[in-house]
Parts: sequence; C-alpha cells; structure tokens
Amino acid sequence: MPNKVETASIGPAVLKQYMKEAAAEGCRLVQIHANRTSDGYQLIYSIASGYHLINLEMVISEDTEVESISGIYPAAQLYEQEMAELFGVRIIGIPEDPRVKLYHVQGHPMK
Amino acid sequence: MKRTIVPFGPQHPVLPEPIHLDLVLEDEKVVEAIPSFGFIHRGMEDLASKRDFNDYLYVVERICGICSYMHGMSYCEGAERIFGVEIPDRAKYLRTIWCELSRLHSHLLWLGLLADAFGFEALFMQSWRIREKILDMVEDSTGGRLISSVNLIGGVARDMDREMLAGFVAQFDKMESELRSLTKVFLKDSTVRARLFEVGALTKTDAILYGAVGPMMRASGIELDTRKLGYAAYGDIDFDIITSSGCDSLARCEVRIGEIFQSFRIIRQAVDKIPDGEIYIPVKGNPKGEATVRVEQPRGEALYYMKANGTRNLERFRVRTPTFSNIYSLLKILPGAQFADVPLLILTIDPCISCTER
Amino acid sequence: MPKFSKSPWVMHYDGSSCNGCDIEVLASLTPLYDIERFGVVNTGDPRHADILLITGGINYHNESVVRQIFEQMPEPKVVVAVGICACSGGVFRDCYNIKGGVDTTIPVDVYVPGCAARPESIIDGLVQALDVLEKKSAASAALSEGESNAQQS
Repeated sequence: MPNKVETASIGPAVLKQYMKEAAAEGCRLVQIHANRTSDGYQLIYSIASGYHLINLEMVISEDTEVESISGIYPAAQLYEQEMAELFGVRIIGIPEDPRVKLYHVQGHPMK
Repeated sequence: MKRTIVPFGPQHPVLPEPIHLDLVLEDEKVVEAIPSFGFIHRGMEDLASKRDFNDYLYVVERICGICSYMHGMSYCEGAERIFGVEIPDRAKYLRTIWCELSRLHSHLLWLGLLADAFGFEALFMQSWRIREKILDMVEDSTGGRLISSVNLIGGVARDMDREMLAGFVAQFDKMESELRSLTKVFLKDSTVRARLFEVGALTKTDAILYGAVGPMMRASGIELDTRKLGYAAYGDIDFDIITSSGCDSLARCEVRIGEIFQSFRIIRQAVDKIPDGEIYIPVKGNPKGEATVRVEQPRGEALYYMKANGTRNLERFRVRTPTFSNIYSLLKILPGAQFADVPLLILTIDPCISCTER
Repeated sequence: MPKFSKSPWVMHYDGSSCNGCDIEVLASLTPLYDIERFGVVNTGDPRHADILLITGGINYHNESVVRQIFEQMPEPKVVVAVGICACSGGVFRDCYNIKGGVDTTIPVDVYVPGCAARPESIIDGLVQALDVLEKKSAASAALSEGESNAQQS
C-alpha cells in the first residue's frame, strides 16, 4: 500500500530529545496538530525522512505542559501557536511575541 | 542606524489575498519581518463535526479555489482508505488528469502574478491567456472553471470520452510551443534575471529546518515529490522530479516552469494508458478509523488527517496546507532583502492564504 | 452627462474568500474577458476607487479592515459583493469565525451570485454597479446644488 504511515507513541518528557535527534539526522517536520479527547488532547507530530512518514502520538491531559520544539524546528512555532489558540493546549517556551497571533479568535473555539 | 517599521497589507495591490507583515527596515534593507494572520480564518476544521461526511466534501473543496480539485480528491482518498475500498482504475486515471490540469493552471497563474510583481504587464497577460485554455478544458470536462465538484467517495462523478481526451492532447502541442517562447523570457530576459537572480536565497539545510515544501524545497536542491508515493495513478506514470541547485527566486521560477512541461507529459501518458471501465463504486455505511493522506499540490506537499468514529460526522479533520509550511521560509528569506523586492519574495513561495488559515 | 461610468476605478478586497472568486476577479481583467474595455481600471488604493469589489464573507478579524477601506473611499461609492460567501456567508456561514455576508458590516449595492462567481457574472455585476454609481452621483450633485441654492437665498 503506498502512502503508508508509521505510528508510534511518545511521552512529553522525551519529545524534545527525540526531535533533536531527528533534526540531526536531517528529518523534516511535516506538521503538528491536536485532537480533542474526552479528558485531554492527543497531539500528533508528523516527521518525515524522505518519503517515510512517522506520526508520533502523544496523549496528554488538559493541564499537561508541553515543551515547545521551536528551538529545534523554527517552523514548529506556527503549529504550536495554532494548537494553543484553537484548543488551549499549554505549550511552554513559544518565543513570546505578542504580535505573532495567528487567528485572533476569542477563547479557544475547538476546546 | 535608525529603524523604521513599514506595514505591508492586509490590502496590497500585489496579492489578491490579505496578509499583514510589519517590515522593520534599516534604510532600504529589511531587517525583520513580523507576520500577522487571521484575516481569512473561517474555522473550517471545526465544521467537520457539524456536517455529514458526504456533504463535508463540498466544504473541503472550498478550502482553496485554486487547488480545489486536489483538496476534494485527497478528502476522498482519505475516506476511501478508512472504508478500505479500492476505486476503479479508470477513476484513478481521471483523477490524475484533473490533478495535472489544476497544477498547470496554478503554475500559469503564478507565472502571471510573478510577472505582475516585477511590473512586466505583457508577460502577466500572456500567461493568463494560456491559462484560460486550461480552464476551458477543466470546464469542458467537469462543468466548473475552478470549483469542479467531480469527486465522490468511491470514484468520480463524470467521465471523459475518447474524443475529449484526444482533443485536449491535440491542443497541447501548440500550447507547449507558445509556452516555450514565453518561459524563455522568464529565464533568459536580462531585466527579469536582474530581479530574480540571487534574490531570496534559501540554503538546503535551511529549507529542511524551516519546513519548506514543494517547488520552494526543490529549488533548494532537495529531490522530493509526494506524487512518487503513487496515489491516484501516479504509480504507473513516469515523470521527472524537477530540482534546481540555484536556491534563489530564479531557481523557483525554473522549477515551476519545468513542472509545467512535466504535467503535459503526465497527461499525455495518462491519456494513452487510461483503461475502460467503471468510474465509481458505491460506498455505504459510516466510516470508522483514521487515515493520513499526503498529496503533492501545486504549492507543495499537503497532509490530511481524518478521524472517524462510526457516526455520520467526522470526529476530526485536519489539513496542513503547503503555504502554512512555507511561511517560515518566507520569514527566513525576507531579512537582508531590499524593500522593493518584498512583494516579489512573498510571491516566490506562491502563497495561498485561504489554504493557510482555512 | 455621465461622469463616473465612463471610467470607474475598481478596488478588490478579499474578505475571507477561498481564493476562487479573487482569481476570477483577476481573470476578468485579463485578455479573454477584459473589463478594461469598459474603462474599468484596477487600483490598489481605496482613495482612488469608485467601486469596491469584496469577495468572501466577513470574519471577526477583518471586519475593521473592511470598514476602514469603505470609509477611505470617496463619495459616491458602490459596493459589489462577489460570490455567494460575500452575499450570505455561503458554505462557511456556520463556521465559528464567520460573521456573515458583507452586508453585515457595510452597505452593499450589487450582489453577484456564484461559487466561484464566473467572470461573466462579475462583469454583469460591475455594469450594474455603473448604473448605481451614476444615480448616486446625480443624487449627490442635486443635493449639493440644493445646498448652495439655500445658502445663496
């Protein structure tokens, strides 16, 4: 089957280390998004090396603080900002620039 | 040196779409660009939980009016993967042909807008004149110029007969020769080169770190094209991945021009190989499961994530569009550029803000 | 004597459209449809514009931008809502960030339906807008004449 996707789960504690290694190996960060679950969120980090795509799933509760990986992949900032604005996921360490608001929405519409 | 902040947008003549940048300038040189979004944000991902999954297809097609066909197709591919159905071969080839037609019209649109951005009005008009012929083909075969709505979960809604396909291919020779002389101006003309050559360089390492996709990435020397994953009928079709090692705006122009000619090649092959048969198989029931689909849109790789829980509504629909990923590359190439080059640099990523903000 | 309808200057703003109508607005400027034959000039400056073409609905963030552009345009001015989203919100009207059609924010004179609106219907809408523009300019001329007469007497 073409377009095959591998999935793996990951914990918030090791995320940053994993991403650092992935970046050193030349992997691309394809996207990050959040899914709402009954008592928290499921964050999916997709990284790709060549055509091979891995979805890293991370299940967290509403209060869990996740460290930003924008220090490793600068492009991650937009995805993290999006999750924080739409879902209210707590992400710490997004470079704080009040002008870089993504959608300017009231509250967290998808929470 | 004294710094000045010049606002750019949201209403700006060079782009039909609103994007706002605060450009921090030192004299004529850009030192920093601070973006601000949200002028087009509608909240479509949330709508997935309110609409029937069959009806939501028509919302997905309206994520973007330019790559509308591909959004619809990817949604159907995702749903078919959740249902576990294989669509008929003829439908796969038809999808491939429509995909390439939309790539052609998108790239020609971009060439025109680029010419407009550096003030070459005649080139703009010529590119769009040729583009209208592609749109005529789309309209003949689907009934719509931009938003075609021919995809269904399980196949496609319309067929193209042999005469129509042969008619398309017959027009290609003339179009290709017109395009050859047109693209020569883009690549060889000294005034155009002066605006594009060595402007907005993005190195290979930066392209990976900053998440560049599509022609932007390929112009930085990375050979990656999601069509090679073989969705629709791409697995049976032979085509080249166009790359360039120039890393600058001229390289991006070169890559897109190369892709235009590859698209003609793909459609020719698809027309030769297309099998006879059904174009649709009915799909019944409600979906349950999840799927991740990647396709190559004109602007680059797009990723769709769908999660269904067995009801008529999808639990989650997520799309990561190419421009969303390219924004950071833009912010990377702006510092150091001349102020007058800013509109041009914004165009070289081929921005589609309605995709980005959904 | 028609003054405005011979060469109206048009400005286009993308509300929260999907890009389809925007591209069709641009396409109607290019060789095949060529609205420049009606004397229509596309401008990027609201202070030069007589007709405002808006595509897409209004969301909570661009509301102030649309209002500002409308206020910056000189009188008489005409607003044309292009596409079904600009008319009523279209498929997006249930989205959380969409306020509705353009008429929720500024007065609209001509509605152009379609998804995406075809260049032919955009041209038709523009030609109708010319009539509205002419009527508005006649009305404002009569008004200012009445005022100056009142001052003299």
